[in-house]
Amino acid sequence: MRECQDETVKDMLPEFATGRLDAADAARVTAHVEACPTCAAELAVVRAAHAAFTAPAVDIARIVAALPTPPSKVIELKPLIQRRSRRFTSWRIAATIATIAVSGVSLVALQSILRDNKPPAVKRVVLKPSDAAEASGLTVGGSLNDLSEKEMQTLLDKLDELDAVPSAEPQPTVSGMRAAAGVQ
Amino acid sequence: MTGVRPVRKGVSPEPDGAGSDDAIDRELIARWLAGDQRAATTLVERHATALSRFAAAMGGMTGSDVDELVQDTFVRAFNSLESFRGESSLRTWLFTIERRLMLDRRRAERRRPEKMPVAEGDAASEYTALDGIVADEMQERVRVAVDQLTALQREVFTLRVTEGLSYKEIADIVGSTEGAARVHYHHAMRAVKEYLGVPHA
Repeated sequence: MRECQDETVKDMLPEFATGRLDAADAARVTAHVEACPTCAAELAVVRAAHAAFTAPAVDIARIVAALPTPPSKVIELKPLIQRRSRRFTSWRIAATIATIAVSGVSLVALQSILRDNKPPAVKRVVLKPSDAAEASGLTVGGSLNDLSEKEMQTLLDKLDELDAVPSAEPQPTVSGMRAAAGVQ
Repeated sequence: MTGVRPVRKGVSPEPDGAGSDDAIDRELIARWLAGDQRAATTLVERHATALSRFAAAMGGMTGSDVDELVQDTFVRAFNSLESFRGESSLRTWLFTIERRLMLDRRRAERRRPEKMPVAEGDAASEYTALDGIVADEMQERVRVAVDQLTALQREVFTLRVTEGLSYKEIADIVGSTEGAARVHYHHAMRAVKEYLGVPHA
């Protein structure tokens, strides 16, 4: 068989067979193949190979269900999740509230801190008087765990502000705690 | 956060048709990053068949293997879609991921002594056997011829004739050069023609 003189066209046969050529190139290939037995034979092989490899069916719905959610939906949560575990956060808030209480900071001040922010946070943090035997004089309701991430973040931010201010209050001591709790 | 990136235009070295395909993919990626889940379905629908065909052509996999491989490919791709810069087409990138997964699986199978690895020649694949019953003789012979190629020749030949990918795209997928991809294709074509008894000029 005579060798093909137009390597450019020969090179386009796979694109031609898969419909990736524009109209002008496709017309050029068609015209060439009619006159060139070498390329006509090669095009037959390419077409047979194209048809030979069929795609097994795949379950599109199952694939889509396995995909991750778009990143923009989870990004807001990342900083808090990376920062602290929720259990630690709850303990930290509870401990800080207890410290504030025994250190003599008024409950009014604490409530105003909470009120400055989201009203739901105030509603859902239960501060209730406990019996006098408890040293802190306060217990924190379990509902801290029910706070939303955003509400928890607000509390944390406020606590960070408190941490940043050097305490003018006396450090809690056993005698101070007893005094605060009214225990002689 | 919107997550929407502007669609880059005029960067594709491909023909017009394929270039606009790339633009559509980039637009769909931007929509998915912005929170549109339906864009993911469209992206999967656009590329799943090509990935499935390539996996099956490489041989040695059952239908459910292929299904699982294609799913894993998409999951990997979507997990890092945010960092996809569009320097290659999405399709090329997906093939690259799929090929890497296939290589990993073959290596893992080789490490498992209790399971005999599927020999390259036998990898004539279950597909070949099943499809051959209804396929015409020429197609069946082409499949047998392709199964006798080296693994790299088979990859290059298949990507070229079934998807019409350019040598540059194929080189990106198999981690080679454009020139080497061209040589592998010509050697593969010559071998297939010889098997089929087609004169090679």
